[in-house]
Amino acid sequence: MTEDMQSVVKGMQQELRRGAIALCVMSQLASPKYGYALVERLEQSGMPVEPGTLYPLLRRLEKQGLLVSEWETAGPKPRKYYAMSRDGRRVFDLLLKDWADMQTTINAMIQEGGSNGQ
Amino acid sequence: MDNDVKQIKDLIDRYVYQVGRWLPAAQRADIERELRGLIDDMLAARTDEPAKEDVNAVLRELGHPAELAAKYSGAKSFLIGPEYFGIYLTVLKIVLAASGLGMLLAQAIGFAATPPQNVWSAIGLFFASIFNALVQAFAWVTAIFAIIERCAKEAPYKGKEWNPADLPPVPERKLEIKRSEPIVGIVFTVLFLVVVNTMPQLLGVYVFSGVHTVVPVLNFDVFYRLLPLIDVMICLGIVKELLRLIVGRYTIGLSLSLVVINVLSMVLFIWLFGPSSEIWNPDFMTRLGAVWNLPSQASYAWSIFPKILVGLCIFGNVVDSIQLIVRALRRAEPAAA
Repeated sequence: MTEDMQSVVKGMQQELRRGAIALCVMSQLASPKYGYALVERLEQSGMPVEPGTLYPLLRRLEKQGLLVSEWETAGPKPRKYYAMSRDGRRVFDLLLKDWADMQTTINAMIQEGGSNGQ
Repeated sequence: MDNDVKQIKDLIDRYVYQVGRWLPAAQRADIERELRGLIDDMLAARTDEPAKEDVNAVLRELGHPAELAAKYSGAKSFLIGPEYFGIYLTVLKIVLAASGLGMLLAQAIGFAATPPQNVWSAIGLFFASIFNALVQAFAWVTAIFAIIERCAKEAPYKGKEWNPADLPPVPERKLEIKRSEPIVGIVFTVLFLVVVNTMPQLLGVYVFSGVHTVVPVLNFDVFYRLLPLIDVMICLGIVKELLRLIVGRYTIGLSLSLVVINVLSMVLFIWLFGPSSEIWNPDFMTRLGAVWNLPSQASYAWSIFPKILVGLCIFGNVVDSIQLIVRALRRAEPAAA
């Protein structure tokens, strides 16, 4: 693959992931977690997200009212814990349904497209 | 070993400082605190006793501080957004061309009127003032659009229910405003604005009798006092052309707005340049008479000159306004006619 094509692929992959990352993050925040624990969790699950992307994303979701946060200063290190707000849960449920629908539709389209092409 | 710890701390401090530097003050402390925690966690995940290389690797993984800060601020990170960018570029090109060309011509006329003493400094001045005009034009247009971008949170067409029936008809030939008309209008008005503001001494009668002199038409004391209002009047003209450029066809609303601007600028003109204004050079005739052999009616002609000018101004504005109203009425008639 040429270098140009590689960067095109990279851009498309990023775009594909962009919306999904928020969904993955929210899925892990039914109970409070701090940023780096989430980084590790996502990596183990096969959805690695760079901390430099995740931390600003957490703040954005909080600003949008989907997450709430609290500083936990009792432990050895002060850490900011994030969890889904009530609105966040509702939005998450809606998105989950969209995600499932989209998956069905896309899979059907891909199969259809494949059989038509032959 | 101690030295190493100090270096590590210093490196982290520098990184966090650079990230926080341009963040909104309200969030800065909190983000910095969380970022320190993150770096700590990332180091701990690598090794129990972090060395300088570990810090380097971690910071490199986090990315350039400016990039990280940009992800955090996330807010409107552009001066002029996509909604206005097209029209911004169009206006910018026109205004740049107009002011550059205006300045170029004004300088050329200026040099022709009073040949410079020192050629090199004249060339320097020539380019400096053109450059200055371009920079000013760029700055003003950009500033105005940046303000529009921030005041009008969304493009004017957003938010309302959009109905295809609201699409304006493709203008009839007669009602269409060709782009070139207002553009030419803007170019000349800006040129005039440049001349009036930078070299009003050019507005005079050029006399050549052995030496080259210009007899100014204006009384400069009064002129400079009134200059802001004169600028307002000229800018009204630019606003008029801009409206025509943006709307692109004669509608009732456009015609009415243009008539209102006509009336406003006419009132300003009469007040600024009318018979009761002191803006005219009282010595004009005397100085001209010193060079030329003038007939006796000449000073009478000069005394009624402001009245003639006012008459011409009213005539021009009335004709223009009538045309506008006629066009607006024609627009109001059913298109089937």
